[in-house]
Amino acid sequence: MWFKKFLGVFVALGLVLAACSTPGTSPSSEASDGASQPASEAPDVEQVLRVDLGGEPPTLDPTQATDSQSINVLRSITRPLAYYDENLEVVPGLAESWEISEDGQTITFTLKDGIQYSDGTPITADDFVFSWKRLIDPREAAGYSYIMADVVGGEDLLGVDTETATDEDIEALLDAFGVSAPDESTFVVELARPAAYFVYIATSWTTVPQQEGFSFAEADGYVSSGPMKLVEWEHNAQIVLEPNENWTAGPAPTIERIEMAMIQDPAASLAAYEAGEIDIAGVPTQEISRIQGDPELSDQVLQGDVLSIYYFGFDLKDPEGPFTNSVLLRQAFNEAVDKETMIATTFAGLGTPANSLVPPGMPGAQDFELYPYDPEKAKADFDQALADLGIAAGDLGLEVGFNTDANHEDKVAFLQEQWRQAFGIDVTPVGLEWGAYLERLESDPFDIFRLGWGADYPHPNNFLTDLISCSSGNNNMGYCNEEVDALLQEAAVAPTLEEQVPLYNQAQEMVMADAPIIPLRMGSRFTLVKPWIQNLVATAQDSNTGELFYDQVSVAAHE
Amino acid sequence: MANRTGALEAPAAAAERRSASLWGDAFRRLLRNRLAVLGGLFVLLFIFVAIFGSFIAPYDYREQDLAAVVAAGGPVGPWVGPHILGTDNLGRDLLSRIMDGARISMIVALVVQAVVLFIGVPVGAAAAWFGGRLDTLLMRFTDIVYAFPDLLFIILLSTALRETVFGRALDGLLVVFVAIGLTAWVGMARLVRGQLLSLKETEFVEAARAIGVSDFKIVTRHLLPNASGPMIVAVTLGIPGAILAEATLAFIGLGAQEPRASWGKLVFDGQAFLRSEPHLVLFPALAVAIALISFTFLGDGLRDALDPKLKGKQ
Amino acid sequence: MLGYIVRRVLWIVPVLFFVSVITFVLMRATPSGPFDSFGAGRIAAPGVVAQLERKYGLDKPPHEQYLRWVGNLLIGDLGPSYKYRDRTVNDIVGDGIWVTVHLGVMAFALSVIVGIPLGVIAALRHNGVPDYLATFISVLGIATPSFVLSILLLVFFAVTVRWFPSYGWQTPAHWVLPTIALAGFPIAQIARYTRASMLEVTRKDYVRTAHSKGLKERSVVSIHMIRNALIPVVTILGPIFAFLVTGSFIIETIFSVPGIGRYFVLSIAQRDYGVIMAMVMLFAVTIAVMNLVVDVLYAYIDPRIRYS
Repeated sequence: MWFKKFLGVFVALGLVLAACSTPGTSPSSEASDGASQPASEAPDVEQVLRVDLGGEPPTLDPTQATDSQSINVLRSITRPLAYYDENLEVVPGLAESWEISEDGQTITFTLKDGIQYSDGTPITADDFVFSWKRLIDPREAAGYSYIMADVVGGEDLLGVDTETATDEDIEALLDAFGVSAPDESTFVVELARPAAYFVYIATSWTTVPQQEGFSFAEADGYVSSGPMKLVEWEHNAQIVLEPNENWTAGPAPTIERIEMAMIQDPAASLAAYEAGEIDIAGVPTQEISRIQGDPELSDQVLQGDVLSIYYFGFDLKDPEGPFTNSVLLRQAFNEAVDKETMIATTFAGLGTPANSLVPPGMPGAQDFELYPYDPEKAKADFDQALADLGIAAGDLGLEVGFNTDANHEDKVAFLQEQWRQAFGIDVTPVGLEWGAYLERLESDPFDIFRLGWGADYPHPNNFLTDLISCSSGNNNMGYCNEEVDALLQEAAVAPTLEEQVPLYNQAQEMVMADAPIIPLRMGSRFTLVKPWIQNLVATAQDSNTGELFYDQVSVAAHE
Repeated sequence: MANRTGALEAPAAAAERRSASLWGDAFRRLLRNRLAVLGGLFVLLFIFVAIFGSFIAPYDYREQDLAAVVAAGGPVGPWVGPHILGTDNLGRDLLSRIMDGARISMIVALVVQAVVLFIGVPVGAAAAWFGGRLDTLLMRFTDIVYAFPDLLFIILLSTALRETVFGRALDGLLVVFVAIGLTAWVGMARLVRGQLLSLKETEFVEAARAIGVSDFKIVTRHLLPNASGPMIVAVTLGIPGAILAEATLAFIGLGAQEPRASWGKLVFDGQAFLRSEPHLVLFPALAVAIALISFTFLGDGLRDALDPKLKGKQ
Repeated sequence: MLGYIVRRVLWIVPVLFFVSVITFVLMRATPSGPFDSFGAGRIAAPGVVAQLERKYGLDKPPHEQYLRWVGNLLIGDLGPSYKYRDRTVNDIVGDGIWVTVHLGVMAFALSVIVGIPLGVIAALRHNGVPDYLATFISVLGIATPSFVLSILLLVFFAVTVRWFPSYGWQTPAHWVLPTIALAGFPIAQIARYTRASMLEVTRKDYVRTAHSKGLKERSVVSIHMIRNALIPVVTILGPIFAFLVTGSFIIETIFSVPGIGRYFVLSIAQRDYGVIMAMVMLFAVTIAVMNLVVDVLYAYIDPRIRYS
């Protein structure tokens, strides 16, 4: 009788968090080694790929999609202007080519010939004008609208006060928005400032073509622009994709059917894999040692980098805060952490120690090991910092915040003990449910708090400007260094990646020297793939292994 | 039929007189029940560990043997080294953490059950005895509490109250008691009411009334003891419930926070290791199960001991 | 009795009113809203949050929002889902509710069929081997968290011996494991209460009277004892039924059952206000009705119980 409807759920939130994907604990992704032997499929084998989305997609409306489940499906059933190859280089998607003007402020995309939606309607440049405007239309209030900020008129639309703005005002701003279609196959983007990374924005699932009146709620009537089409969407049960017969923008799918289960619990997903009911499954951190010790399953492991970082930030917003006023103190807290051991114990050895922001697998990733583990130096720096601040160690009273929905307790306990041993102080862990945690971060930040970041697109801009620049909404530290911002802007104007990378790295090194965060671990995937699944290409951008190229998978004969 | 009133008879004075020897008899009967004695000893052991756990534990509950974990490639298993029950993935001694966890878990289990009895029994008894409008109001109130969204309430508590005196009292445990206890009493109230509705129509109640025994005495001396079996079950079953519910709260930032342990939290944190390192969930769950079984045997024994009719019956 | 039932049914309205007000207030007082973050922990731009709140009327004064919710409820509209943007709460509830009820009824039947005999046997062989065995089973059922029980069932029956599928709800084979997992706790609970109330009854004299009259043990058990032992059991069966037919977050999540039980927790984590209200209301109605059923059953079990 004790178990109440809501309280009695015990593990409850623990499973919810699994939905807020944490690398390694949920089906997560990475690079291609193994598991993609050359195809030798017997033609009579049913070409069916069975994967697990990890839950019901909140929406299949590309404009509104923000969750990994939604994105996983959209990768197959929609296609943007540009896409990736297996090395995450940008390659043509629905566009055949694009041209960037001398001043870097105009990008002209030329669409491929004869491309059509799954219902046979031609895809034209107007469809991109429509969908791009829809993405930034304040009335749509899309989560990812900010990626359009660099387009002419973008800032104005993002800043619209919908309380006072009328429909006419918004329409006028949308008319002035810098996207146009001079003819059916030419789509032109005018940028307010040069943004060399902008072609990466054109790879986003949020920028795929749409026409007015598309409905996204059910499989029936869903119009697809990608290599696969949605044929069945049984809510909370499964999604089924089949090849889009009108797909001409790329190689024809080799797979004949993709069945996407919605198993929310990672342990249950792994069990379904072991039971032979799905072909690809992520392995929860806690089960990695078991899989490694299993002679059969250990042969089916696919590992690689994931573009994500796990870090703890310092509160630099509080003008009186010890961390705000002492770089040395922040550095001391960095030096006192043994990241190798932390990964070995709390991440089952999966992932690489993080000493920068941009993760391996991203162009220009570089390791800056400014604060190697050195508890003695840490203690000296700590004492010095406190002396400078004029605070006694006992008066610090530090709170370490974390969200309780994704296995962070052991990481916090690890850090707590490291700092206790190095400095002789006890920090107070404060675990809150995600929403309450978020509210505290905004209203009354903890001294130190856990956060993570995963790539929206594989370009350093996404890990620097979008995360740590003064104006970034995701910069919870309140860290602001004008010099860093200036370098980031300079990088954004540099035309080639080769020219951008040194600038980004200079900025990164500067950030690391300021130590606004303790970077801990770069993401990594540990996925099981059935041996008969061939040509599966995993990239560091995938949140579900292989999701970018499911359509090119083939199935070899088995049992 | 006639001898029924004989059994439950009891003019007030006789009842007074009898109660002293009744308790003495009951205690002697309890001591003869080996399982009940065993259960009682275990309960005493748990209470002892709850009080002195951190002094007698082999290790400090928060000491991390990281080197051992790195060497073993994961949590150290049981029976293989100095850690009898193994360690968690931070190399913390599981036995020491279970001993440390006994404190919070025992307090939560006992206090919550006390709150449940304290609210549930009077509400249920009053509803049944007085009936009518009071019954309707009290029982509609329990319907509301049943449907009360406690998770929301607790999330709210975890943020709104944590900085207040109330939120910090007893290391934040007071909030836990209140949160679990205030919503867990409804089952007890309905159980008591259901039994009393039936019992209050029996002849002995009429007889007792006729000879002027007060309502309060009829209810507390005659009706409630006759309903004690299911009540004891509710209390004993509520114990693991409260222990595990505390983990849900710990999870939302109330109750045991790192590096402190509680049984519920250990079970909760160990669950994900079920297939790879089962000792991490097995031993804490075993502690909960043994607590449940001890309280159950003790409770069953108490009930039997309080029931003279079962004397000598096997 | 009919008048009593009618009055009790009418009482459900004020109960729902209070539950809805309490839930609404708690929900809106709980920190953070449905739009403050998106994806895997991205923080939404303040402009976007404001736009969405305006779009869904969350910027209006709370009492206005509540009244609008009540107004819509009266015409059967539970409102939009903030998390599943293209779907309404009616869609979500409509899709899953019958799966959840189906699972709940099966688990309830299993709990009663196993739990009551287990309790009766334990009581009849009081302090004998069957009693200890039944106690042992009950303790296992109660002390094993449902997550652990579910995973153990999954690993053994779906992975090791492969008798049943590991996820989904398509065929009767899919129903087996979730039903057993969901029934685990109530079986134990029912067995314990049945045993306790049976023992309570054995000390009542009419049972001995029946014995002394030479009635065979079996008929003594069936006619007198069980009937009188029913009251506490019926009392707990009401809420157990209500809990089971409204679903379980853990069971539905682990076995991927497409029901609504998962939304009791998910909706709160997601601050999906419309879904929260719908779930709480649904449960409130079920519990109120079940407690009414229990009270009516009392009068049939024990004709001395009368409601004025």
